Amino acid sequence: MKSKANSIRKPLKESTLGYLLILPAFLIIFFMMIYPFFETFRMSFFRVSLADIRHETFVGLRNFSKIFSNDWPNFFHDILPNTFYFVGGSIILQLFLGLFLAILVNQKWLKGREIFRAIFILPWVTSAIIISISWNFMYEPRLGILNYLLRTIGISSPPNWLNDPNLAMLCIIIANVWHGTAFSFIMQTAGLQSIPENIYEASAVDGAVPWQRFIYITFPLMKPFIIINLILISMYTMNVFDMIYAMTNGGPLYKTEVVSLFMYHQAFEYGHMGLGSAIAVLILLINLLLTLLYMKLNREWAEV
Amino acid sequence: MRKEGKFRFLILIVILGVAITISSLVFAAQKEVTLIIFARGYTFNQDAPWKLAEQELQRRHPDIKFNFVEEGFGWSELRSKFLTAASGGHPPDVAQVDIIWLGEYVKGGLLLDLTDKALRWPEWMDVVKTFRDAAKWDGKIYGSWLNTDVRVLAYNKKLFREAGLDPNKPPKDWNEFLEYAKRISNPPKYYGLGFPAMKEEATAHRFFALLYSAGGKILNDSMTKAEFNSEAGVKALQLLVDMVKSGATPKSIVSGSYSDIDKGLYRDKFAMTFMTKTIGLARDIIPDFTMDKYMKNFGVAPIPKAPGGKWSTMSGGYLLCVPTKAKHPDLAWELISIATSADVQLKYTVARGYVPTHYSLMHRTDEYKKLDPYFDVILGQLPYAHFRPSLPQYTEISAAIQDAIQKAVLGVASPKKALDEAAERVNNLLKGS
Repeated sequence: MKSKANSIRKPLKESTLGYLLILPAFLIIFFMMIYPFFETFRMSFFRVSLADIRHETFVGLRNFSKIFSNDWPNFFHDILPNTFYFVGGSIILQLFLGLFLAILVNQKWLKGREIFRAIFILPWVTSAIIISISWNFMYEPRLGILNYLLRTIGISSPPNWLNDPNLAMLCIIIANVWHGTAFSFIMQTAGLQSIPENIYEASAVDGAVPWQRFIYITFPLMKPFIIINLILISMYTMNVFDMIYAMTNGGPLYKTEVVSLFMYHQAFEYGHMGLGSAIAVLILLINLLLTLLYMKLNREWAEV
Repeated sequence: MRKEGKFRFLILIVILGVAITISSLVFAAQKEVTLIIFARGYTFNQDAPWKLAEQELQRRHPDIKFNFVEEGFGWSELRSKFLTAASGGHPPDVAQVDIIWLGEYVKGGLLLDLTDKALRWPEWMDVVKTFRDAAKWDGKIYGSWLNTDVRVLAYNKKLFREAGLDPNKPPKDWNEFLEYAKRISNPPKYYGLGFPAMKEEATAHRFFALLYSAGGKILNDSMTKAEFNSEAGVKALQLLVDMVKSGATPKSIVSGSYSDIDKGLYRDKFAMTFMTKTIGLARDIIPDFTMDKYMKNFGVAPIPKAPGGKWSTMSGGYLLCVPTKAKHPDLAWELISIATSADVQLKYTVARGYVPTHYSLMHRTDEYKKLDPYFDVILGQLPYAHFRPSLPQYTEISAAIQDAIQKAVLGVASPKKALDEAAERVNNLLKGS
């Protein structure tokens, strides 16, 4: 009788212990993610000023309509195209450069591969602000190294880089790709190293040349890694704020004002916390849509 | 022997017990107070105002053990950090407040009404009346002035000499201003004029000096409508556009920071710029600074006036305020009253090249002149100084004007069109209030 009671109590105790063990993690997630999410969502329906945050007025969907009706910068004409240009440009370049470098460093004939890996990872561990300041120096039209080199080779009117509304975003994308490629490189290297060597050996016996091995072996087996990489860098790039803030603060003429910066300006510079919250909800929706799209793509690729 | 040993041990225990009791009583009697200060980073660089005020406060309250937490910020970070902390219910005890933020903070209920305290303070009536009035909102006093400033034309005499210009005859009006700037420019080595056109408050602030000189205004008298798009505003912006078009100013002024332009003057990259705290920055930038070197190579003059216009400059400055939910409001005010007293203000403004706000200091110009040979020029501009409106919407009004300046400078819109568009935005903002 006694031993039966013990056996019933034992699993109960174990589950309690389990709950207790996950409680700290749950509390962190609750207070750092779940609660702020619901609070942001709630605030997006109120007019709240940063200077008077306790005084809220319910405005329904007016914050959302205000996002779309803002004259300048306009959400559809300025903010969204800027965001997609920045995110699209950054992820395409990061993905391809990361893959290229990963394949290159994975070659057996290459000496000192570990050293190259460590060097390629360096930009990822450097602070975005430090990177921004460094690139700002390089882009500086009067004293920067880029224009110095261009003048040296005889170009008398070199570009204005970050001061040129048509070039500013491209300059930021290049800086961001320099920073972010390392992450793609790590992901793709992990993918490459997960492919069993004997598949390559078998294909070599069958007479496959390197490009055939890449198309028929490497690329299909790398797909899950590419998709995960794509999802992660899309979400990360969509939320990039520090680098653009430090390099151009959205200028000139809002040509580099992406959605995260737009949210910051509205919420913390102009003090419209309700409007800022509505933009944050919108960013979440965009991230969600992108993730769903990539997952659908992944499924279709898997079926192919 | 053993008994003796036990007795000694007992005595030792008793002595120790008494010592611990006495020291804990003394310790308990000395109350511990932490005062948190939010201010611009550079205000902590010298003894005045903070170190001196903190020492004096400690001297006045020997029964209290003070911990001073000094948090220094850049201009825009100071505002966002304060707003976030105050709206979260955890403000500092003392906050440095730019005069243009006063309306926004008071309307948000973030600042304590200091009227009674200020009126009881013996030095309050020593503050110049204009500044006493500017520290009020709806008739109530919310802070005490740390300093004010005025913008002047700072110029590089070396570059004047290289262009064959008399370094002791800076431009007096806009025609001379444009002509000199063009003549001096030697791009990309150096340029005649540096003025900010990036998305920063300094862009609008420095433009306003030209606007007022041409007879314009930022808003109408009732502060309900934009007036910066008047003929005067267009003329003022056209001057800046002409500077860029003629190559006297580089287009790179639309990014970076205004402080890079100011520093550029002392690094021979710009021949002229409008700025404040000239001597303070010169000391920081010029290698092996000596007063002779400074006077030989750099000059300070009034901002050139519009043809047929009037002398004009912009003034700003900071108040020290007590936030509504400050933990120690009385001690905070006491600290402020010491930090902004005439004696401490003298030391602070002399060290940084700022302008005092006390009547008694206006008569002690010799002390300023000893450390800043151009102090007379700065003081002479005070009667022509204008203030920006400290409306809660000011940050957005300024942003609209900054956008207009950028548009015109980059040639995206004419000065008239750019200012009209900005005026429409500002009018909508003011209507919404």
